[in-house]
Amino acid sequence: MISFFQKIGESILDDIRSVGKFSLVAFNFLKKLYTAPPRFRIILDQLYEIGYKSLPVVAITGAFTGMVLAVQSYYQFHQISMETAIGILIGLSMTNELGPVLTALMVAGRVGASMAAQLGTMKVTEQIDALNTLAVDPVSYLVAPRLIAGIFMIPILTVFSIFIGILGGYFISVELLQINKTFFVNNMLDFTGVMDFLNGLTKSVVFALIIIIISCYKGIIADDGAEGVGKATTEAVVFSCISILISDFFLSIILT
Amino acid sequence: MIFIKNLKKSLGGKKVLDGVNLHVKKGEILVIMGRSGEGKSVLLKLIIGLLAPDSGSIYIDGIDITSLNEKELNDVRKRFGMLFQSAALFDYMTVLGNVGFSYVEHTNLRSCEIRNLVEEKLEMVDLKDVIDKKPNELSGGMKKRVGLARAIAMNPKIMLYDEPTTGLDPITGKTIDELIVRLKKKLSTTGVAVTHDLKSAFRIADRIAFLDKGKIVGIYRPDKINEAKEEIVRKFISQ
Repeated sequence: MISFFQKIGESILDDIRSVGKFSLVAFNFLKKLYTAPPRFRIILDQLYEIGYKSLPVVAITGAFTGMVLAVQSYYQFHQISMETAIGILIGLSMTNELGPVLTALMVAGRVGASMAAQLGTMKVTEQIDALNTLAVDPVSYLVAPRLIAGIFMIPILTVFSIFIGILGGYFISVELLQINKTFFVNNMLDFTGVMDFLNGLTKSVVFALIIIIISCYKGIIADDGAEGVGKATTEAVVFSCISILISDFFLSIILT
Repeated sequence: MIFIKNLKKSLGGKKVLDGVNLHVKKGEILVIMGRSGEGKSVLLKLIIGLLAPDSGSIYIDGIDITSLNEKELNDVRKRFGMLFQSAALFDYMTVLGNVGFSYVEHTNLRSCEIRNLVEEKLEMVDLKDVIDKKPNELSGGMKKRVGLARAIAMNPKIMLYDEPTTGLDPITGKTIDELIVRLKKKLSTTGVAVTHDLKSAFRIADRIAFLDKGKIVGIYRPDKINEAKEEIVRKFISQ
């Protein structure tokens, strides 16, 4: 019986230790943005990796989300003759929720996994030690550029996703479901304000921090060879996605 | 040059180093030998500050590196070059990127100047026509040479070699050893090497230190190690 409680206690202590370790490392990541800012060329590489290379996946996700929203809401609104409210629904959903959250989830899957795998491989093959021996701080060199690029590009990808989503919703509603164009646009503009857009952008910045910090952390602490890198990659995506969804809930409460 | 005083380090609850005392003289190559898992590589990582000791001191040119902050430690690290067991080349960069890494990070040289310097360093390790290749296009021996060229890029005063011949065939291993000795003479470096390859140790060492149960049990000249009184050393060299 005692050993049962001992195991539970040890497990809780391990979890607390992990949270403490993560907090310290995350703080160090953010501190390095000020104390040892990376060179622009390295940031540029990451802007390309995180931003440009994520465009197709974000575009497809955004477009189909907007289109599905239009189709689903049409059949519901049609029953109460309120089809013209589809524009409002799409505008509000895409700016406040679906744009930032789905973009973040897609980026966590694509970029987060790649970062954790790359840094994890560098860790287990002693490349991170090699950086240290060459008098280069691995956090400034590897993490800080990713953080800056993520904070800059993920909101841009979110704006892109919102725009494409609304465009997809517009196309289905107006061209396929024959909803009046003027009603769709005017209703959407009347009910979707700048604040909704800013809410989405605020969320995207927080999500960017979550994705990059968790992914880099998981990569940088990886060990046990290929198995460790695989584990780090999976955990980076899973923890990023869960953290995005949980923080979205709290951000929604705070921002609205 | 390097003084180590009563160095202790535990990893995962296991005492790895239990009071290591060592002095590496200027201009020599000191080889640290011992059985696998005795903490040889840990000692090397402590010397360059990749790990922090539990207690004890490591003096590099009179500076105790165990009390330095990150920035000061990086300044001391510029005096070092390190060859890793796996070469630890940056796999997303070409040979030019790897060997020229320190020039890009620590100097304001133009890319054409960096290319010339990299070619010069590659020549010193007997490599040519590989400058634009990626590490995965190189053989094990070539990777070690590129690792060596990267380590000597900034003309370090101290070279650390972690198992320099492990994973190489005997002929390539011998070539790497000869290269280490040649570079020591040419660049006047002090070296610390970790290996359990006896032949390699005899080829490169000025002195051999033997690590056992977390302590240095003896330091010998290669031609005198046969006269060692310690049983573990005699057992080791008789294999």
